[in-house]
Amino acid sequence: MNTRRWYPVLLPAALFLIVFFVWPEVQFLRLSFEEYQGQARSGGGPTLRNYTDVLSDPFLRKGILTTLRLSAIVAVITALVSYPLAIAIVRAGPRLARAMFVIVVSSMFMSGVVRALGWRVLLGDSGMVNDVLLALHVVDTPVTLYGSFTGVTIGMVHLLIPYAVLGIIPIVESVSPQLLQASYGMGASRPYTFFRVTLPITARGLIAPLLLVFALTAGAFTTPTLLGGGRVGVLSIYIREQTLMLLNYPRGAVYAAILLVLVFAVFLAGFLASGRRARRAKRRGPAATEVTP
Amino acid sequence: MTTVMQAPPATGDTAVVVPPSRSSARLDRIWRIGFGVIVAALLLFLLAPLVVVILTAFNDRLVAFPPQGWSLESFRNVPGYMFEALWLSVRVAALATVIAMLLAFPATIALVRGEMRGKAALLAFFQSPLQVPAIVQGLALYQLYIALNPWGVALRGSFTGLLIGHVILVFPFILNAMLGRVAAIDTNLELASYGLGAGFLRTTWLVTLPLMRPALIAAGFLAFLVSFDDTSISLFLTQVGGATLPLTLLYTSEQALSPMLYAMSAIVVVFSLVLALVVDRVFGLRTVMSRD
Repeated sequence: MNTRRWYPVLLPAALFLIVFFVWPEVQFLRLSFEEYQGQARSGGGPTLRNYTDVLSDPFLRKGILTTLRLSAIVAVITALVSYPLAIAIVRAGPRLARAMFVIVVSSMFMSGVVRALGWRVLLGDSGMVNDVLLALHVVDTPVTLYGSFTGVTIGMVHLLIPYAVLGIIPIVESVSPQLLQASYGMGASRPYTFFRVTLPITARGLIAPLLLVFALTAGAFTTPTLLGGGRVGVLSIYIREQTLMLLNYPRGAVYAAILLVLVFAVFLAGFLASGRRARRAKRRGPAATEVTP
Repeated sequence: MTTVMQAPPATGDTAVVVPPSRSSARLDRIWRIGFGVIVAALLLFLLAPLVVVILTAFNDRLVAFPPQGWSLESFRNVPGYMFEALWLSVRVAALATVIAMLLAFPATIALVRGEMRGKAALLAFFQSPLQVPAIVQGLALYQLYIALNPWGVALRGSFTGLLIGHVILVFPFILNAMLGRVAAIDTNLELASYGLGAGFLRTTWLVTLPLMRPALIAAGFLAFLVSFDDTSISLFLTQVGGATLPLTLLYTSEQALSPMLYAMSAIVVVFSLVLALVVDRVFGLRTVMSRD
C-alpha cells in the first residue's frame, strides 16, 4: 500500500476523538475565559477574571494546594511501599509470586467506590484501626481518620499500590540475578547487596511510577469524595461543586484547567526525565545492569 | 538456618574469595524476616477493605465491623434501582469496550504497519486522552452536550451520551494493548499470506486478527473494568436517578451508610474476584496485565 492510502484507515478513530475529545477540551478552556452571568449562564469575554478570582482568594485557592500536597504525599508513600512488594514478586518462587501477584492485581479489579466503602468502616472513630491504636496505647482518644487528609491518603495509597507495583516490577527484573549472586558470592550480606547493588540500579526507575501515581492522585475523585467526608477539598471535588451544584460553569472550568495543567506538567516532567535517561544510557554504551557471562 | 550462598571456586591465584561470615549470616536472616514481615503486612493492607466489605454485608441493622448481628437481611433489602444501575454499568462497559475496539483496530494496523509521515505525532494524539483526568473529560463533554442541546441533539443524560464518554475513556487502553501486540507479530506470517495471493483485507482478517486474539481479550477485559469503575465521567453524563452502579453507591453513601449498601458492594467484589480468577486460570494474570 502506498503512503496516502493509510490515512483513511485512521479516519474513524481520529474523527471520533476530534469531535468528542479535542473539541470539548477546547470549548471548556474557552469557557474558562467567559464571564459568569448567573447560574448556568456565561458569555462575553475573553477575560482573565475567573483565574484572578481563584488565584487571589486564599479560600478558593486552597483546593490547588490540597491537591498538590495530597498527590506528593501519596506518590512518595505509594512508591516506597510498592518497591518491596515488587521485589518480593520478582524474587519469590513461581507459586508464591503468582499468589502475591493475584492479590495485588485483584485488589486493582475492585471498584474504587467499593474499596473506599471498606475503608470507611475501618477508619471511623469507632472503627477497627482506632480500636487497635487504642488497645496498643498508641493514642488515648480516637484519631479522626475518616473525613481527614490522613484518611484520604490511606485510601489513595491503597488504590494506587497495584499501579505502582506493575510499574516497578520490570525495573526490578532488569537487575540481573548474576549480579546478586556475584555480590553474595563475594561475601556481601543481603542488606549490603540491597543498598549497594539493587537500590542504585533501580532508584531512577522509580521516578516514572512516582509521577504516574502523582498524576492519578491529582485527578482522583472517588476516594477524596468518599473518605474526605466533605472536609478534604481537592480540585476534582471543587469542579463537581462549582459545575453541578453551584452552576458556576466558568469557575468550574478554571479549576478543571488548573488540574489539566498540573497533570500535564507532571507527564511532561516524566517525559523529560525518561528522555534524559535514555540519552545518558546511549552515551555510556551498554547498560550497566546487563551482565554478559 | 538459612542456606548460605556457595562462593564460586577461585579460578586464579589472585582471586580472593571471602567466605560469608557468621555475623553476616545472622544479619541476612534478620533482613529476610524483616522483609517478609513487611511484604505480608502490605498484602494484608491490600486485602483488608475487601474482606471488610464482604463481612460488613452480613450485619443485620448497623454498619459495623466485625458485624454485630449476623444476618442475610441486607441482601434481601437491596432495592431494585441498585440492580438497574448494575445492569446499566454492565451494558455501558460492554458496549464501550466493543466500540472502542472497532475504532482502535484499524487505527492500530495503520499506526504499526502503515508508512506515513508524522507517525509519532499521530500516536501521541491517539493516546492523549490518557493525559487528561477523567473528571476534566467529563466536565468538557457535559459542556458540549449543553451546547448541542439547542441544536436538537439531546445527548445530555442519555444512554448514547454516557456511552460516548466511556468510549473515549477506554479507547487509549485498548489502543495501547493492541499496539504492543501487533508490533510483536512476526511480519513474515503476513508476508507469506501476501505471497500466497491474499490481499490486504484478507490477510488482516485471517492472519493478523487471529494472532491478536490474546491481546484483544486482555484489552477488552481491562477496558471493561476501567469503564465499570468510572465515577468521574459518569458524574457529569448521568442524572442522579439513572446513574451507573459506582455512582449510585456513592450517592447513597453520601446520604447514609446501611448494610444494604455493603451487600451490593459485596456482590460487586465477588463478581470482580470471580472475573479476576477466571482470567488468571485461563490466560494468567501476569500475561494479561503486563503492558507490552
